[in-house]
Amino acid sequence: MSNLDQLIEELKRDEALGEVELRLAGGESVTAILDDCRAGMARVGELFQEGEYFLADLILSAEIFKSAAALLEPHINPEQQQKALGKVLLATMRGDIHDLGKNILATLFRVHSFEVHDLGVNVEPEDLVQEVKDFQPDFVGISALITTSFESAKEATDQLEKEGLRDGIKILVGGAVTTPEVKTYLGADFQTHDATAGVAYCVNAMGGC
Amino acid sequence: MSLRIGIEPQSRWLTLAAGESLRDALFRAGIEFPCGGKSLCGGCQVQLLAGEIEPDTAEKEYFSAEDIASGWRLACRLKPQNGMRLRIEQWQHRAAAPILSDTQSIEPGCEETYRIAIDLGTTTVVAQLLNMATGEVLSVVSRLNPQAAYGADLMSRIDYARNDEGFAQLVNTVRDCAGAMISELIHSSGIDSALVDRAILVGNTAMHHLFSGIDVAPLASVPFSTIHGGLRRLESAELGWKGVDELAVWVLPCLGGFVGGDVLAGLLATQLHRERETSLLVDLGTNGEIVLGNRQQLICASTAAGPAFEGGGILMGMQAAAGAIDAVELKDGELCCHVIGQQSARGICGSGLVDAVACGLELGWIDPSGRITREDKRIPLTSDVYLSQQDIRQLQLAKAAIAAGIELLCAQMAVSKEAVINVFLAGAFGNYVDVSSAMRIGLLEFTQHQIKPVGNTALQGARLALGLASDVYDEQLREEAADDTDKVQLPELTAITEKVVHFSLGESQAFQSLFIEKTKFPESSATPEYQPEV
Ligand code: B12
Repeated sequence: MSNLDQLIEELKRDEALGEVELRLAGGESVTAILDDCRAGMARVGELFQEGEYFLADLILSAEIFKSAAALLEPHINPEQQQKALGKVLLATMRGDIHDLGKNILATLFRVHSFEVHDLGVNVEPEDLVQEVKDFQPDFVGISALITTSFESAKEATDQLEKEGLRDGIKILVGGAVTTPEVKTYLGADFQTHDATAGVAYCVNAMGGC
Repeated sequence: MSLRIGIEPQSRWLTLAAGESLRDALFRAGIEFPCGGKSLCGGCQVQLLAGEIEPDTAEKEYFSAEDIASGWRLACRLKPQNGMRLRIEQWQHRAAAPILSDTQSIEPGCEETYRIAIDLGTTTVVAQLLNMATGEVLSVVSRLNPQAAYGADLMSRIDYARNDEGFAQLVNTVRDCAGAMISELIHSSGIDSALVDRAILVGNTAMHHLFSGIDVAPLASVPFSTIHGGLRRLESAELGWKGVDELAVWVLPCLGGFVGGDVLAGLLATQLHRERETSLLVDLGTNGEIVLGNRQQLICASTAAGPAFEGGGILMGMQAAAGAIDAVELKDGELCCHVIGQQSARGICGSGLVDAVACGLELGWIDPSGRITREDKRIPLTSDVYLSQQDIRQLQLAKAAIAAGIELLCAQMAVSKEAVINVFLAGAFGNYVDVSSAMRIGLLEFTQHQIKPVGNTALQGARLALGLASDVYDEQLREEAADDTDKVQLPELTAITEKVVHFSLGESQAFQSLFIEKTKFPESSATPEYQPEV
């Protein structure tokens, strides 16, 4: 009986990685190990939501997960290669350069097997729209940390609507200055101050796992 | 033929009698030569602001090549040249000590005029009337900034001013407010308004723009380009002020980005730009401004801490008003709260928050990651007031923004924090926060002897700026800059504005990981200076 998920939950990096190696050596399936890692990450997410964990903890957990995934990588045979759970397009809109929250969000999405395309900061509305056409994401995540960037976000969502692209996607907004009103203003589907809640929303929307 | 030499910071001309040596003339003007002019002590340092003079061997020995390049010389060695301008180092130090308290006089001048210093803050506006002949502050008025009706914080005002109507409203409100305060100062002191010839106004970038009537749209989004363009001069008539005729209002320029004229004033007050050694000026507020430098180099940045230091975004947070816990200390392992006014606690303000978290860390109720270790997940302060886990998180974000900003500027200038001789704390919060608590939570990663709360440096600087130029002197300078008549240049200011470099933290790759690192609290109160009272 392995306690890998618990080691990850408790952010015990070396012990967790040691456990991964041990179980690999024991011939266990990569999927089973990965599932435990994910379970641990899900717990970290919950603890972050509860306020027990903070940014540094979240980042540390993501690093542990990445290292674990790197150990598992060579053992995954191509047929087993998991399909991405969904595609996410992320951006901080024109006028705003805050990206800490968005970067954490991107990491968490990747941990949960989403394919992520991050447009970066100070993104022009038309560039976001273009990328929706090219990348065809399931989700568009807009991160807003200054109120003055709501305008450029609005330009983008209006344009998506106008070009008939809106229905195929779910739009999420997040960042410390966003409110339920911003969600309504942008016609978004979900608003949060919490990255893990955003990821959970997308996991659910894709049928959960 | 007699020679004329300009001397700073007095901004006056010194006339040398025919054949008189520079040393004698300077001595006559009050400059001391501690070793008697034998070039032994370096006590008569001056900086050459205009004029070309090769250093001699003694000077080359005394100064570094950099110092020489930026004009440092020894007054005892200099040969006089007509029209040369010198900045006298001695006078800086003598001036530096007394300017640190608030209604402190400035150097007496010789003119029979009265002038006004205005500190236009986002929340409060303060104005002082000075008698320039004696240098004394005659009276003071303060008011809340009436723009608050259109938004409490800067970003919301900038937002409001993005359409023409909103812009006009904000411009007029603030101009009317300043005008009314000036009338009040003049009338209450009973002096003839004709004797008041000038006001100097300082404010942050947004206030500078709004008062001057400059579009604030560029401040709403990246790259936050601000208008520099030197000192602005506005006439009372164009400001629509009634009852104050012929008053010139000079608005101190911004330094770049969100670092405004109030910070420039802070430099005048603390003389950071004059010292050989490196010092730091930090204005702790919703928007933290940081300047690091010495007489060679100045680098500034703004870092957004958010409203936690003012009690904003905190569950039971409030302004530092009656009923607020403003200080917390540990006595025999128990928390003791001080409440403003004779009443029971209703909430907690910024200084109380920093204290409470410092105590929480000492008691082990909060671990270095910021997690509350108590079962009830609270830091109980009084029967009604406590801190929640989220409150601690907010404080962590605010202090990380400041600490990471300071660290990056130090890295940028390649100075260690130990090498910073003074850490000047400006702004209201910086002056009432308990320094050892600020150290305990890692907001200020310095030692007690480095940290110096220096009061309202914006106002102090505005006052000093009043004394920077005599009319005769600035007429002369204005003639020199005849092509650009409404941009009055004061050498003392350009010495700063030309040197200062604005560093945009948002563009720094290193900021992110540093910021996350700084959200943590220091492990223990190992810093020897920290002694919680027991
Ligand atoms: C760090 C910081 C900065 C850094 C940014 C560094 C960077 N690369 O990101 C620096 C110093 C550069 C900076 C600059 C500025 N800042 Co700033 N900054 C902050 C600060 C202190 C913390 C923000 C942060 O990173 N939090 C941590 C992250 C992890 O939290 P988060 O972003 O909310 O993200 C979490 C969730 O919201 C969620 N999430 C985020 N995005 C999304 C998106 C989706 C789709 C989902 C599902 C979830 C999600 O995931 C994260 C984890 O849960 C806040 C104040 C505060 N206390 O919040 C001000 C703040 C955001 N800044 C502010 C301002 C005004 C500025 C400046 C304009 C002023 C200045 N001083 O120069 C500049 C300009 C920058 C610009 N053009 O955008 C204001 C905004 C106010 C307003 N009304 O708009 C704030 C609120 C401070 C304040 N009250 O004054 N800032």
